Amino acid sequence: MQTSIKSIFAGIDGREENFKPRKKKEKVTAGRVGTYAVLAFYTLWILAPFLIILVTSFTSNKEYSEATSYIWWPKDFSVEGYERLFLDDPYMVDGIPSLFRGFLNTMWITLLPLASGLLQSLLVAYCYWQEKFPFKNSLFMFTITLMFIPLGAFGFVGYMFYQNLGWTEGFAAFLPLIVPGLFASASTVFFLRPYLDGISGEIIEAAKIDGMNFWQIFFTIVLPLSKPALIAQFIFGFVGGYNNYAGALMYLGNESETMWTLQLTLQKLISYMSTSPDGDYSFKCATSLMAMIPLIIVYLCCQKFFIEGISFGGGKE
Amino acid sequence: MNGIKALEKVSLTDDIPKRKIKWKPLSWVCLVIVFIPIVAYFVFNGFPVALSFISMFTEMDNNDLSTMQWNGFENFVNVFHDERFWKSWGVTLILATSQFVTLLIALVIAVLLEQKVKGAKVLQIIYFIPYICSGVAVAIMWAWVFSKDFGIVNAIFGTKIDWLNDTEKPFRLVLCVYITIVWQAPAYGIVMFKAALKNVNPSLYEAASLDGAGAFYRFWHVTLPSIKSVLLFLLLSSITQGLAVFDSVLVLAPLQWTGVAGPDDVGLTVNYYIYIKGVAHGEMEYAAVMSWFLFVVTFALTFPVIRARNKASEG
Repeated sequence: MQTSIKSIFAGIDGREENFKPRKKKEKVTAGRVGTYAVLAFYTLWILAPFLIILVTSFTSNKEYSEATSYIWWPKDFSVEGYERLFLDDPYMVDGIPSLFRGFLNTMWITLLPLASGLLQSLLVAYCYWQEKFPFKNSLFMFTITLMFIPLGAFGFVGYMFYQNLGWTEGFAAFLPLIVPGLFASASTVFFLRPYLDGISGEIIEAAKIDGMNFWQIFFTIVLPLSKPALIAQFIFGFVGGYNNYAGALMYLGNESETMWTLQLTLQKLISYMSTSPDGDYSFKCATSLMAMIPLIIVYLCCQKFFIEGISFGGGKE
Repeated sequence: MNGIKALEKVSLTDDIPKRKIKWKPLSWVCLVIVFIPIVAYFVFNGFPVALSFISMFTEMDNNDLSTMQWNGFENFVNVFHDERFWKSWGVTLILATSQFVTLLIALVIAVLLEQKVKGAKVLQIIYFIPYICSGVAVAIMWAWVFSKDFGIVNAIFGTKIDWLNDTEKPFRLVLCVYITIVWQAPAYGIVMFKAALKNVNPSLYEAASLDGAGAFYRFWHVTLPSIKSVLLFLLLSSITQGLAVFDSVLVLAPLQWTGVAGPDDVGLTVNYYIYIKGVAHGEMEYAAVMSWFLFVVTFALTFPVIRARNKASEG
């Protein structure tokens, strides 16, 4: 983050050099300065909350007990917030930090349905793309129509359905979060289909002539060729799963702490802290920072995939 | 956008050979495969939603279907006479306006990034970070910024305002939620707008410049029409998301022991209320009425946008 701030200022300082290769018309106008000013301000605005909690996560409670307002910079750095998070958090079971356990739960709850759903969706898209079968067009139209029904308002009504299935108690409470995602989804099919159209059908024809069957073609040709589209969909689904809170709260909120997901654990830890008399600020800030960091690191490492994937996968709607 | 193209392709390529289909065994395998998303949709979306529709006209004991009894329109009468319900709509609509601010910010930032700015790539990477952060973590972050005793906002202004829990001026909480949304939401729009701006034909700009058009004219007559479909798409998802605020209010306005969300209940959004009634209190028949009302409002608001989108992609 520090380097990026530097680069912004470098951008402002290096204005003149930057202009050299351009047309003569463009000079250092008020508009250019304004552009950089707005962008610099916006960068600060985006980074500020992170920096604020980063600083607080290293400020000791002792220092806060004597302070009267926000501490801009701690006198001496303390890692007690992180120590508590990793060694002594209120929901720790068997010595495993609750946030880490939540992370593991989130991982398998997200990855299992995502892998299965994506593979199936690709299979469905492949069928629509290459194979001929009765009612093909009408079924494709029907699938797409289903997708366009905006079900966003019904986020919570499914609870009644699963409750009566007995899927909201004990270990079964995981099921409503996992099972629906195990199957191919209309929106993913809708997104993958145009992508497959971009692949030359001749490859498939050639493979058929070579005597490859349906499944061989799917796994050895279609699957590798669709990798970019699958990655885009994967990232879209992964970010959604990692940050899913409402679903976890609904089904796992009343279950034991060993079943909580990352976001649920985070919220539970924070509300536990708010009810305790001594405000453990460094712990709070360290916790929310640690909950965000894994995904941010993954994002920074492969940001190209993320940005392409989101703008790509998001456009499917 | 992709959908229209996909539809066209299907109908174009398959019209002619339709009659020559040989019904091989593989055709039946495919038929089964393509039924997976349809069946899954009906089991996990269609059926629960249909169930909620029926439940609106019934009375149940803690969401237990076996205790279901018809009670006509009693739930509707109760919901529409519920002051909390209308108040939650007021809060939700106020918060939903943040989506317009969001779109505006996203558009401005995306346009500025396209001005051949040095370091634009790094900036774009930074601006996208809020998108991958969870609503919960972001709300916790801002709760600390607005904290009464040690918040940085109070430190800057030298005040001791209890932003999140001011019983005198409860509306301050709504302001905090608003800021939280406006901080996080533009991330997605910036990426989408930027991708769309890249596709604007540069020769159009040159033509406009040769005609002596100013920057504003160019933006209005060249840029805006070119990004219209993305704009409408973002508007569509903004409306849906704007009306569904949940994560951030749950953290910034946790349910108090009195059963109230935030000071004077101002943290209660429609979705929050649906959650409290349907899941926490086990009165899904009541929550179902609210959900269907939310659905109707969302649909009514998005319908003109969907039509405009279809028109734009046709033309």
